[in-house]
Amino acid sequence: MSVKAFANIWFLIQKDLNIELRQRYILTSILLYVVSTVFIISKILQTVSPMLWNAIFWVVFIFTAVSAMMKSFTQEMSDRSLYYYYLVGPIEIILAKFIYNFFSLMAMGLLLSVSFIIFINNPIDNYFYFFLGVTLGALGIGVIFTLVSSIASSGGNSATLMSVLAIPLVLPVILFNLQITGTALNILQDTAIVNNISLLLAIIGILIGVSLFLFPQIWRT
Amino acid sequence: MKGSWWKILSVVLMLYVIVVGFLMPLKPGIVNVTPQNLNSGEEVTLEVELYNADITEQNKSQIRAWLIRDTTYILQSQRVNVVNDQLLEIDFNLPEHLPTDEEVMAFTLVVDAPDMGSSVLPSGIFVGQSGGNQSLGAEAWSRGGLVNLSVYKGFGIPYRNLLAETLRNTYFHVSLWFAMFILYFVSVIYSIRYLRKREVYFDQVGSSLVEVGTLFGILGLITGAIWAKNTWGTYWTADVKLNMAAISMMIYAAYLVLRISLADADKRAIISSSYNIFAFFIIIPLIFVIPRLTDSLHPGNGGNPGFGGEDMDNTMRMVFYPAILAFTLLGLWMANLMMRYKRIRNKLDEI
Repeated sequence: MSVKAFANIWFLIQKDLNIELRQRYILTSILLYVVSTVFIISKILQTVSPMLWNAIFWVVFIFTAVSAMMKSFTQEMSDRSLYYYYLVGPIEIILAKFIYNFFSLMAMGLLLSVSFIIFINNPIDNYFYFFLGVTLGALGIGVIFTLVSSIASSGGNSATLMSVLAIPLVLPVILFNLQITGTALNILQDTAIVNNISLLLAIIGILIGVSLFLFPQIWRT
Repeated sequence: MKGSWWKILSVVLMLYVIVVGFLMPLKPGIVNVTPQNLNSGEEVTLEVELYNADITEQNKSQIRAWLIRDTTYILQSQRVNVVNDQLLEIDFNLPEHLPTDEEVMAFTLVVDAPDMGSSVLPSGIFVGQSGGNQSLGAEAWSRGGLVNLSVYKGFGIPYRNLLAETLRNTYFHVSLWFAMFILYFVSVIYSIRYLRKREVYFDQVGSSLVEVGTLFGILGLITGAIWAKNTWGTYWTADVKLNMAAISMMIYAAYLVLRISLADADKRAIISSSYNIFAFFIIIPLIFVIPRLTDSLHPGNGGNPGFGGEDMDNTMRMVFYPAILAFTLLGLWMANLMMRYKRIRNKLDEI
C-alpha cells in the first residue's frame, strides 16, 4: 500500500460523503425510519424487558442497515464505475466502502441507541460493552452488507436480492452481538465476553480477507 | 466403463454400508433395572432386563454381577438367577456403610457371562445411607475384584443406554454431513477456478456440487431430526448446533434463490461463484466453532464428548469410514450428472 493508495481511499470516502450530503433525502429517510420504528415499538410494547430490548434493538439495526446499505453500490452508475475502474484499484474501492459504511452504520447505531433510550427505556448496565457491541456490529454488518450490496448491484434486481442474501449471512455476527450487548444489559454473565469478542473479531477478519479476494472478481463485471 | 470405477465403488460401498450397518447386531446391554434406589445394609434382589443377551445352558451358571464405583469400590453379587434369556434376578448383600460421607452414592452395574462379554449400566444404581462411616464403608466395599472378565465373541457394535439401536444412524447422519462438507469444499475450489479462468465448465461443476451438497445437508437435518425424536424425545429443539445447521442451510438456500433470480448466464456464474466462496467461509465458524463454545445437547459440542472412545469402536469404524466415502462418491456422481444436464441444456439454449 503506497501513500497514493491511502490518498485514493481518502478521496473515495470524501466523494461518498459528498454524495450523501448532496442527496439529503437518503439521510433524512433513514433518520425518519429509525425514529418512527422506535416510536411505534414503544407505543405497541408499553413495558420492554431487557431481553426483548436487546432482541428488538438488533432486529431494527439489521433492517435499517439493509435499507441504508442498499444504495452503497446501486448508486454508482455504470459509466461512473468504469471511470473509477481506470482511476483506482478495486482493493482501494472496497476498503473505502468498508470504512465509509462502518462509520455510517456506527452513526446509525448511535442514533438507534439514543432513540431506544429516549423512547423505550434504558436497561444498559455496562456502557463500555454496549458500545463495543454496537461498534463490532457496525463493523461486521458493514463488511457483509458492503460485499453483498456489490454482488446484488451487479445482479440487477437488487432490493430483493440484497435482503435474501444478506440476512442469512449476517446471522453469525448478530448472534455474537446479541451476547455482547446482552452482557452489557445484564441478561448474561460476563464469563464468556472475552471469548465472544475475540471470536467475533476472528470472523470479521476472515470476512474482510475473503472480501478483499472476491471484490476484484465481482468488480470486473 | 473405464472411467467409472468410482461410480461402481460408490454403489458397492453404499450397499455394504446399508447391509452391514443394519445387520450387525448390538452387543448385550442392560436396558432397565428395578429397583434403582437402594439403601445400605439391606439385602436386595435386582430385576435386570438385558438386551441382545445370549444366555445359553452352558454359560447360565457362570453369570456374575458387580456394583462398582471407579473400579476401586467393588461389590460382587450373592446369587444370579436366570428368569429367561432377557431377564435376570441378582441378589446383592449391601454393606452397612458406604465409602463416602454423603447420603447417596451412584454405582455402576456390571453383568458378565462367558462369551457374552460384560454389560454395563453406568451410574444407574443409587445407594442411600443414614449416618455413614467412610472408613468402615471403604473397607467393606473393597473386598471384591473384577477378575476374568469375558470377551464378546463375534461382531457387534456397542450398546449405549438411550441410543441402543439408533446408534446405527451414525453411519448415515454423520456421514451425510461429512460428505456435504467435502462437496462444498470441492465446489469452492471450482468457484475459485471459475473466477480465475472464466470458463463456464467450472461454474457448472461448482454449482452442481453446491446443489448436491445442499441436498445432503437437508438429508442430514432430517436424519438428525429422526434421531433426536428417538433419543431426546423431540424432532427439533432450540439447540445451538441445530440452529447453526439451520442457518447454514438458509445461507445455501439463498444461493439457490440467487441462481434462479439471475437470468444472464455470465452474471449468474460470477455472482454465485463469489457468493459460494463467501458462504463457505461463513459456515465454518457456524458449524465447527460456535457450537463448541456454548452448551449443547449435540455430541461433540459444549463439553459433550463426541462419538469417539467407547462409543465408536473398531467394528463401527469398519462401516463408518466406508459410509463417508460412499456418500462422498455418490454425491460426486450426482453432481456429475447435474453438470452434464446443465451442459446439454446450455447447448440446447444456444440452438
